[in-house]
Amino acid sequence: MTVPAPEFRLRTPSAGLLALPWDRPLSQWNVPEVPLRDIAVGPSRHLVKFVEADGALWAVKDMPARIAAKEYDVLRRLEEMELPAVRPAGLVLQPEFDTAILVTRYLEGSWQYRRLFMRLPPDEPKHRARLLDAMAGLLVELHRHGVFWGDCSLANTLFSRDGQILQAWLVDAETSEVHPTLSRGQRQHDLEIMVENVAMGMVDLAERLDRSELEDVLIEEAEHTRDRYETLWQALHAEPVFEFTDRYRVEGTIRRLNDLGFAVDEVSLQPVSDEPNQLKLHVAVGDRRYHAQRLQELTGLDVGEGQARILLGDLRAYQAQLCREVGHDVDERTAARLWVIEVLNPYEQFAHEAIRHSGTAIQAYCDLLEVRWLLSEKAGHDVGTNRALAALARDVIPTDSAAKMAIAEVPTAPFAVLSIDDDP
Amino acid sequence: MAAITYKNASCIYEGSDKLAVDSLSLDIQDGEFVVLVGPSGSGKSTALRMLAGLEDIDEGHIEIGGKDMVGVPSKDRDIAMVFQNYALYPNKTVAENMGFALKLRGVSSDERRKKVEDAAKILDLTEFLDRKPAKLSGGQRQRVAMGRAIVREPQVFCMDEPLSNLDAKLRVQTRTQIAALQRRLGTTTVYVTHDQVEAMTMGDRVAVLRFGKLQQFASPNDLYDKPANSFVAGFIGSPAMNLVKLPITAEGVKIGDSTLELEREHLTKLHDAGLSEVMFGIRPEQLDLTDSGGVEVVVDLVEDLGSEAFVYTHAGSGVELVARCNPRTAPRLADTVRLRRHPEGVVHLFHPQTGERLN
Repeated sequence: MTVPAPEFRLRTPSAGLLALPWDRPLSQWNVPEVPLRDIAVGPSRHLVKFVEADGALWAVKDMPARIAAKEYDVLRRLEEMELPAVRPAGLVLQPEFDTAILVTRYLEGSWQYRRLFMRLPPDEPKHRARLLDAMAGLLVELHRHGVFWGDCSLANTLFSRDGQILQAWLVDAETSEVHPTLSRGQRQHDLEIMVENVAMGMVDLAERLDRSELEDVLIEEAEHTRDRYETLWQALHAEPVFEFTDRYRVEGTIRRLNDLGFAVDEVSLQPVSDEPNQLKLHVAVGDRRYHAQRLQELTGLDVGEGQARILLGDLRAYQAQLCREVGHDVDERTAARLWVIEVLNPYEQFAHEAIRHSGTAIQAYCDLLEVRWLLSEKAGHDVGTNRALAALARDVIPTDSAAKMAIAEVPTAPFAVLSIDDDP
Repeated sequence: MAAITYKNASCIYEGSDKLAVDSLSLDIQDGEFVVLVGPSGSGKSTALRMLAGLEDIDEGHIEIGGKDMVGVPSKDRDIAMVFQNYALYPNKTVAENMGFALKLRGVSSDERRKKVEDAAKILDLTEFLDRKPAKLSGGQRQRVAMGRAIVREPQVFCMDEPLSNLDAKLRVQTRTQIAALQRRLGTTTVYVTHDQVEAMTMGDRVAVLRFGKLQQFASPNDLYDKPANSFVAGFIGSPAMNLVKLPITAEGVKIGDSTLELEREHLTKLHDAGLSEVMFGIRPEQLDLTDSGGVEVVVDLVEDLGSEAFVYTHAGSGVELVARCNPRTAPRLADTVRLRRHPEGVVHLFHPQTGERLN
């Protein structure tokens, strides 16, 4: 009887990927024939391994063909909508074994929550708040694009640094569905799943760190993720009603959305049917890249929204100083060009060197700015960039600063080559 | 535990001009295991989600324990969606994993322990309660995931294609466990699947849906023996029922040059309906291989399953028929053989246009 060959859909058909032993079940992929890498993942429904091929790292997951195809399609949709999610790289059907392998590209510069919190001081609420904001923000982004996650948890998320905030990335879409819009019930259900899973994830980690006395605090914080989500959702979907003469309030609404990082696509004011003098405001919100787009327009830099917010602040401070020095107004574009040359380029390199080139140079500069601000606030005067650089280099910085999270970027060792196949 | 009633319940998706679920009416008894089955787009998952509060009930009503659920948030319906949330936590024991949702709901540690132990007993997990999830097999982890729902003691379990994520072996094993577990717990359960084998083997009753409309709600045996229309007839059973549109003669129905005889009462019904042709249905096990009489067919494929064989054939008129036979006496590919209706074989007659059952 003829054995059916594997069926491929690879989006990066590179030699290294094609050479993998797709004709064998994933459970039989072993070193040294397969360049597996050792990345710790929590318990999973399906067997997951990590492979290095053509200079990139790929996650390969064994699962029933129907579910694999569904997850692949969902991830493609998320990519089209430019949502923060792992990118699908391929789907290989293995009819001989009645299974399939889903291939995704490992997100560079991202890490699991365990990696971060194992290295930070164990009881630091500000760091946890950043994590919870990232989770709530991700769920809002998915929901407003009609994506029901179904299994939102810390273990199914990766995190990357973005200025003083964290960016969360969906990495498991096994239970996800894309709808035109989500009902309130679907959103609430997803939110309940998230709260329970986030609470359990944090409590589990506290156990690992021998800090189980934190359990009640962690549960309470996780429950507040619901409020973080609702606040953001309301800000995006509120439809305030006001008098025609009060239409200046539109500007306030737009400013609030911009502050949250959202660009505004369209504003509509509709008369309320039974109150002709009353207008209902509806704002169509675009991507959460308001500051990033502005910075890109001014400097050409393509950075995260959290980074752009900090850098724009620095640029404006520089512009004000420039105006004082030259004694007249300097337009924003000119100031931006000079700021890149005189400030950003040299100091991002200094900052990056100070933290031994871990992470990116632009993030290192954001960290430098934060440290300078925190030290200045403590000292009651501007301590200057050089002192902040020295503090950054010696890691004598406030324990609750976002810059402390750079610790996650420092690998204990390169991803180890898996020497034994120890999958459960 | 509670009875569930769908009363002309409808759901329409935003931007669509078709009802995802169209006037669904079901009476599900307290403690019953009901399966919603149908092809993709049939509305089965939507119907379940309306019950769970994840989709709006745009028209009609759904009651749980006699209480109308229209406008009631999902979390206040006392239902559990089983399996959707699989996450297991490596540093916590099986007992802690199972009882954590109760802790979030403020249940005392003594009560939690009791509920977890009770659930573990039902799930055969007692000896693993103090172990970490990494030490469990795939099947045991599935049971822990079930345990997380069970400890909440909900009125209703909702399961939306819960086995689709599992490999074939674990799927069969878990299917049996779910059915047995539901019978031990007696919790009203609504289960969605596209797999008619799952539906037939698990449900006390099965609701077959198509294009958002209920086709039939009956026990597995009734669905098999007396399908309400040609869609149900073709959907339930593997291999599927032979369904062919055939001309009616004075003695029966005509296949090529041969006639398959029908009972007098059937012929009278067809005559009374003024039909010249009928959608004729007969299950593969109701057709016998014979040396004489019947319909002459050519064998296209023989599927030998060891205990039985299915012979795929075509008649001269192009009509395709599948028959079941003893694998030891099965014909060979391209053989010309004869098929006849089993002496006590049941036939199914459906209206050629509406598909409704006529006999």
